[in-house]
Amino acid sequence: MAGTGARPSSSQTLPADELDLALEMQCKCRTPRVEVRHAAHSYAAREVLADVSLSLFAGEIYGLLGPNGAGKTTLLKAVCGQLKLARGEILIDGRSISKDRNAARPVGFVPQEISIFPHLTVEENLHVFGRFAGVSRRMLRRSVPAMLERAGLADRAGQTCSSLSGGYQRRVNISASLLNNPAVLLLDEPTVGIDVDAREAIHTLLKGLRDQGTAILMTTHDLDQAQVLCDRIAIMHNGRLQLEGAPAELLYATFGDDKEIIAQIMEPPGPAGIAMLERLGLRPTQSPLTWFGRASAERFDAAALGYYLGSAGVDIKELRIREPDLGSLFLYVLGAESGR
Amino acid sequence: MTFAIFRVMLLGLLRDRGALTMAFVLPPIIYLIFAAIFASTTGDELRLRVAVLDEAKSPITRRLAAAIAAEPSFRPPSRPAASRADIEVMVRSGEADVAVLIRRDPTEGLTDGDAPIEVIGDAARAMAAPIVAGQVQRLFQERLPDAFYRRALSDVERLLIAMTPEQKSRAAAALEAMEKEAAAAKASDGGQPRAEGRPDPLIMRRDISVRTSASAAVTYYAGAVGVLFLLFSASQSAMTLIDERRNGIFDRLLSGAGSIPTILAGKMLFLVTQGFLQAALIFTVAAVAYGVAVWPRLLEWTAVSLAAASAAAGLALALCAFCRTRQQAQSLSNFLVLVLSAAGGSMVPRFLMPPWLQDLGWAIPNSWAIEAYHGLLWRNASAAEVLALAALLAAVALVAACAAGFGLARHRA
Repeated sequence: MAGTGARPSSSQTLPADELDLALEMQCKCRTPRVEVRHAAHSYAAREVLADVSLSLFAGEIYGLLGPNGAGKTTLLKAVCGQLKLARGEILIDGRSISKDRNAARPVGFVPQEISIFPHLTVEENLHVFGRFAGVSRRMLRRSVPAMLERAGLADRAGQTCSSLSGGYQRRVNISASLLNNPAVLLLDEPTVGIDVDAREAIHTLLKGLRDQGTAILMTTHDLDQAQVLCDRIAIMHNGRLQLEGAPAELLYATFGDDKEIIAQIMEPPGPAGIAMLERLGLRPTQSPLTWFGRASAERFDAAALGYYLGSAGVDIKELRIREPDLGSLFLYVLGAESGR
Repeated sequence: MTFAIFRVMLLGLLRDRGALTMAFVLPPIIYLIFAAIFASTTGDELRLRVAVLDEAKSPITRRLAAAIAAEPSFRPPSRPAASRADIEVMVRSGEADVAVLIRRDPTEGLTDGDAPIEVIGDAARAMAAPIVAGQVQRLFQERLPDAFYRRALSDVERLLIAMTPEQKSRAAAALEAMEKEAAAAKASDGGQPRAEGRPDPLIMRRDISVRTSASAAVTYYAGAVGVLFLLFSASQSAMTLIDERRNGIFDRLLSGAGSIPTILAGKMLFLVTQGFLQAALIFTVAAVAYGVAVWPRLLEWTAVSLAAASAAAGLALALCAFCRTRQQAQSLSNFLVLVLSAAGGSMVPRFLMPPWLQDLGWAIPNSWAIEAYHGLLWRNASAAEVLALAALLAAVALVAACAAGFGLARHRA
């Protein structure tokens, strides 16, 4: 399903045939800011990218989801030119970054680590990273105060970064990549390890950038974040894109009107229990005590499920039925390997 | 971008009091300690504490003991020696550097084969006893010429030819006159007899070094300590490269307008500036405290200091470019800086080293820098000689910077 093109989040409200037509028209009209074509790379014998293709458009947020080691960070590093691909090509605004060193200039990269100078103040960090990005001192005199205001850092401008909380350090980490107004912004786990307020502030910042036309490609393990923030997502696994599209569309395509069923059982099932669970359409997660599946709300019969499982020696502790979300999709696509 | 990197490193140094102290306070202090030690042990201020015990108490031995006590290059211990056993205790305990035991009158019992004067030293101060022995020999010859010739005549008679009674009588009269002359000289000008009353000197000493108010060791250690700290400070500051590589700043710089050469240029600029200021501080202290003559050859000194600081910066960056962690770089830099400094002459002058180590030292950049400074400020070496050494250091800087670039590129690959 890799490389299927852009699908707007508004697809939820359109009938399927109209949606396909609208997407086709949109793709024909828009030129991608970033095009990844058949990217492949290996670290020693381990293949980390295997024929990955995707397109990123101006004014959209694209989320790369996947378990650790799926190849998400490698893909980001390849797009910003930090990693030379073994095979494939990456184009920024139509220019290949392997052939034209300046092609990656419009790309801003926010690494997962807090990559700022801890001994400098917030303002000094922004100034220095602005200079590193090639912005003139004169421009920075205007843009640094504006960025401090926009990222909610104005009242911390004179504080050294080592004394800031994790959330504020993340904001500085992101802001430091925005001083040159990059047309393409790559973020590696931008909200990892921060509190809800800081997360919301970063979401607001990213949405603002998207609305201004910035093309944003981000990796995240936060599926709720991906669902509310991303216009499109891709699930990566073993260096490949397993699934790509707008979150609502992918959920609908996978689950339709079905609900997600989570069965919590008392003890790890024996062979007869496993056979029965699978017969009833349930699949294992990483935990042998948690199984999941899907069913239509009208046809779901909890009593019958309990009866059949009980006859196979499986005692149910808890049975939940809920609207599927990206977590459900993640489980469905990757199963037990997803870690959920 | 180069200046932005320079600014980041400068702010890092200014806000880290420990690093600031290491870079600019410790080097002058260490230099002052070294200079104070070596100014008094190898320069004009070398004054050994010499204990004297006169067991014979003859007129001659009293004169000799008085001459030793009056010798300006000696100083007396805090108490007089009481006995033969006591002077040994004084030397062993360090109360005296050397003891002189006058066992009998040097002009009596000349054929018994036993020396009348014994110089007692400790192996821990190996140079002290030979120095005092030589000085006592000189004093005996210069201040007691009558006693000296009396011994000489006795040897002539014993080993070469017997004198006639008339000759003996004439010699005795001459020796008596000589003794009176020495006594009169002692009363008038402190004991130095007229030139014609003394034997012709065998050895004449001549210093060919450029005379400045500073001693050779004090001048030497300005360069030696300077180079040691150039390496220490450069490797300490260059470790930010490892931090920046590990926390993603390095990648971030490269994904923007930066390239490995521009990053290295910014860091080199800072490290060279830091090193140059450090050298300037040490030599200013040397000039002010000890009168080391830096100003007459300031331009050449600047060239040598810039080259030495560049070499230290290049080597430090290369080391940090190849190390993966700060701990690894710390251990390796300590090892290399200490070995290079010891073999290169930063700790003890190379002329004191065994020949093989002196030869090895020529392959070490520390010794080039130390030699350049010493040549410039002590030996009055030609500009061409000094600048050739500076060029060698600049070449090291260039090669090391290229190696650093290669190391950084290798990490990224």
